[in-house]
Amino acid sequence: MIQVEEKLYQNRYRVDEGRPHIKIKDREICSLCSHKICTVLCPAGCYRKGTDSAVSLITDGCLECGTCQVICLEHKNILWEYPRGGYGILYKFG
Amino acid sequence: MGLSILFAEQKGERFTMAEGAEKTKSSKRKKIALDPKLAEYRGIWVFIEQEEGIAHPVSWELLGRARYLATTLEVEVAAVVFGESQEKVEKITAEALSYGADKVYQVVDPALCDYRSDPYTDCLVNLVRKYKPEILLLGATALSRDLASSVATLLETGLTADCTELSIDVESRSLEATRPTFGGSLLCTILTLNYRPQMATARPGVLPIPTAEPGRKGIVIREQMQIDEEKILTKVLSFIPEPYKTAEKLSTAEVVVGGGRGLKQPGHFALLRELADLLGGEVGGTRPVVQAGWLEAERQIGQTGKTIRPKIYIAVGISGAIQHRVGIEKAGMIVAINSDPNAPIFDYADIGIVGDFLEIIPALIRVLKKRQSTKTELHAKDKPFEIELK
Ligand SMILES: Cc1cc2nc3c(=O)[nH]c(=O)nc-3n(C[C@H](O)[C@H](O)[C@H](O)COP(=O)(O)OP(=O)(O)OC[C@H]3O[C@@H](n4cnc5c(N)ncnc54)[C@H](O)[C@@H]3O)c2cc1C
Ligand code: SF4
Repeated sequence: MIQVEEKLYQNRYRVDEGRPHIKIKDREICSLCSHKICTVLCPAGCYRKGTDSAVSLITDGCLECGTCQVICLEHKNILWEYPRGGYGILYKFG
Repeated sequence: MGLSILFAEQKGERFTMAEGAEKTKSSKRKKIALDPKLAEYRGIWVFIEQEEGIAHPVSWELLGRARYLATTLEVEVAAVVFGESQEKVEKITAEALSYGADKVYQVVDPALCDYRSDPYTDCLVNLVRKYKPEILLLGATALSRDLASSVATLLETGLTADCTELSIDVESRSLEATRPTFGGSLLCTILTLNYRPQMATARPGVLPIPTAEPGRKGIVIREQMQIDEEKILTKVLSFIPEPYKTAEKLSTAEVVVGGGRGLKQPGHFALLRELADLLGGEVGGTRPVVQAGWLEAERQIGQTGKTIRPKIYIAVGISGAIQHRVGIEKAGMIVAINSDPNAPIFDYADIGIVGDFLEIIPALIRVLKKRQSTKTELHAKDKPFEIELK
């Protein structure tokens, strides 16, 4: 199976080291959330279910589509910003 | 490499792709008749880099290579040694002779004590103008790269930096300097056809150090140079040794043990640390473990982290995503320990161990400790490497 990372590698990024543009407000809420829909719907696989019931978020591969912010309707647990200017995904022939 | 051949010409210099060059070499290469004035340039020179009377090992690597090139060209190998006192220079001269130099050019002057671009460049340029070597080689260290570029500019000749392979094109007697470019994705062989000397700096550690023959004799040529301290703009006030930087060490470590999300808890990095210490290496890791705060950000290896070239890389609980792979591909050997036999890392690991790292790492540590304690009695290489899993 081709992994999502393989495809993300085709993209160009300038990762803003140490300054993730998306944050989870309250990790507790994620543990209690039953469907954890972000881990399924994020096209870049930024959200992952951990071994315990936690959700981990690594924004390096984020495509800045906004899906996660919209789908977390029930809890509104996502603090969503664009990356700073010059950072994030840099689409070439996008 | 499998890439098509790329030709580009620039001032009579020829760039070819390393692979495939073999076939097209004679057919496609434009014949350039060397300027008769330049045809008298003969011999291969190696600049011996020294600091405080201690030579950099890359100098000996280069002498070894120069010896080999000299056999093809049927010329002599000469070493160039600069220093502030005759005593220090003599010591390095003797070493250079033992590593295969036929001749040693010495310049002794108090102004040559610490490396400074101006006097070093002037001395080297003057020597080259006087004795006309065909090839001039230097190490691709911070010091010598600085020197090489200013010498090449003054001599108006071609310089190829950071080479990983040096050979001779027999037909045209020219130096084929091969270097990685575009971050290592292409190998490029560069020739300087119509300028002399042909200059190259070689990356430390890629060429083998030849066996020294102590007591080997050669010709020593002492040159006096007029160096006017007043005219040198750079003054060395003092040396500040770089503070201990562990991240720095990661890039140069010979052994690196990398940990990934498979380690499950930060505490397990202590195991990797122990293994790394036993092997005299450093610890690194993947993006997720850095993100989780299990490891300092400077220890991240990969696309957005460091690119490392250790002799051995041990990947523990790392799936081997492409973003991690690009940082470790240059390792001499990749050992992967992963419980999932389908992990992508096994596609490019040289040694793959499928299993739980919690069993394998402690077992490895046990074996290494046992070996260390018995090292005096038996040669490590006589004994097969056995790991007992409890
Ligand atoms: C723009 C961008 C830049 C990136 N830059 C980097 C980068 O610089 N460096 C980097 O590393 N990643 C980077 N990544 C992330 C990369 O794509 C991967 O997500 C990451 O490398 C995976 O890390 P991992 O192998 O530690 O974790 P996982 O992929 O979760 O792998 C864990 C592995 O551990 C194994 N395992 C589990 N338990 C055990 C056990 N008990 N014993 C042995 N094995 C076990 C599992 O089988 C699995 O293969 C980047 C991603 C993007 C999008
Ligand atoms: S914005 Fe889109 S790509 Fe980025 S984390 Fe959210 S869902 Fe994933």
